[in-house]
Amino acid sequence: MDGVHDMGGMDGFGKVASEPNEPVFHERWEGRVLAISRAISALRLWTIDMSRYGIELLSPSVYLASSYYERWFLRNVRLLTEGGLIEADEIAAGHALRSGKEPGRGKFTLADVERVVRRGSYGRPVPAPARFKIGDHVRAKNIHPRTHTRLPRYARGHVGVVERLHGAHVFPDSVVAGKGEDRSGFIRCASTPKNFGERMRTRRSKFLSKRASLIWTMPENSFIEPEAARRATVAIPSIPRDANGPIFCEPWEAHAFPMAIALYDRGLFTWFEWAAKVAEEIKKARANGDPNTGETYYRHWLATLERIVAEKGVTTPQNLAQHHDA
Amino acid sequence: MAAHDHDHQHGSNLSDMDLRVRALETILVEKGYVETAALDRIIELYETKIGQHIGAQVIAKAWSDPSFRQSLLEDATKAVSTLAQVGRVGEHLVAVENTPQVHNMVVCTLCSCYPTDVLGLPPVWYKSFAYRSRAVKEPRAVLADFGVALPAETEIRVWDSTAETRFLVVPMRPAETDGWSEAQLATLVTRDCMIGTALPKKPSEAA
Repeated sequence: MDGVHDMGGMDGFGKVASEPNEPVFHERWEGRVLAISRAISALRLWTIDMSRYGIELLSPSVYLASSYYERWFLRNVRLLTEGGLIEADEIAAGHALRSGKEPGRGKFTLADVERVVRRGSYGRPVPAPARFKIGDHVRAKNIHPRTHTRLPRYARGHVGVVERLHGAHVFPDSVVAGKGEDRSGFIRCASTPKNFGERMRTRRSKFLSKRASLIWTMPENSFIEPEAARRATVAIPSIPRDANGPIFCEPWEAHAFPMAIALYDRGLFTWFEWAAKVAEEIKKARANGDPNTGETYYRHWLATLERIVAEKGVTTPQNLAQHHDA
Repeated sequence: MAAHDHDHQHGSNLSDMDLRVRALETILVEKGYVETAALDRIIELYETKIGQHIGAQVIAKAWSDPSFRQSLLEDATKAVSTLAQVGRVGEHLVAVENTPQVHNMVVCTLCSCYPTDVLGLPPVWYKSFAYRSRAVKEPRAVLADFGVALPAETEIRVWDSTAETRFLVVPMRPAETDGWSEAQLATLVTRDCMIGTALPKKPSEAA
């Protein structure tokens, strides 16, 4: 979600103030909140990604006005309440009013502590060959999912160079959306986004832009191949875009886009042919009452994709339907 | 600002939080979900056992032992887990090395991801809105807040901890430390220099 938690590149938060000899906790309750968070995570009713999303769901005004452990506390109350482990009247009363449910893994005791002070394991066997190789140029997708994503706003649309393949991990976006782990290959890439980094005065009093490299480690399906995307946007003027390339509202749209590019690359159709078919789909949808405000563009894109692969005999509509909502 | 991400508007906020957290803990214990002693133990571990001294030992060893340094840069999880005094650490720990040409700096713009296994819990500044917002945009200005000025030609690489990988900066070994033991070297390694917002202490600054 395009939330206030996604802070990279924002202005106005002032200087970074470090505190000499900072204690581990500033208040007793902060330690209790941390310990409670670790303990209830071990009940395995939600994953680390869901607990991060729980913080992102705080309203922006609450998020900004709360301290770090206050946000954790509010998240804990939300997850515990939504999970049915505690109820609002108990929070108001300050003690249990009913006996507890049977938590997934049983009571959290001393014997469980070692397990939760180490980071969990999110690496998974690699499900498929890597889509990119070291040295490839990739463009972070310009997506705006309404739920959890680890693709920060400041990175979207920017081009980077793949530095390392990191194996496969749980894909947080998918877990939080309730679609399973969707193990995804992760890549690390370095980028130097425009307008980031400082301009510095050189000895000749000229300003020299000193950009920093930013390093992202993200699922490979957060990226598209920029040259193919550029060719497609040149060929199809109707593709929603900004200066950095195509833009997407929902993650599935950013999947449908490279699917068409992949088929184009295999010579299944020309962009001229594709553009004509998209126009037909849009016309059909309009006739059926589609408001044609641009928000439904990728529905027409997907309809075109389905039609074209069926017409060309790549797959049957029945096969496609099985994958439709995948 | 020192103690929290923001200025509290009124003094009663903290005691209010204290009461609310106590109430939540009471409910969880009464309902049989958690044991108080287990919560105490978690806090005790972070206050006494899991902290930046672990990272300092790792860096001091990397400075002293070229083959350890090599394995640390290749697979930090594996390398750190071989140290008897540390034991197993979480997966996908990545060590990134500073050189005269490259300075590394770690941030988590989205939340507070941090190599807790080797550095303990993150300091308040690491979780602050100011650091999270600015580190990726104007890292040199952020370094200036920490009193660090790097040569203009040094490339800064900012690592955003957006996935389950965690990053540990391996600073450059300070000059005039020939013949120092690992224990002596570890006294020069500060938490901030392992995040990349400081340089290690000089021998003259060692305690």
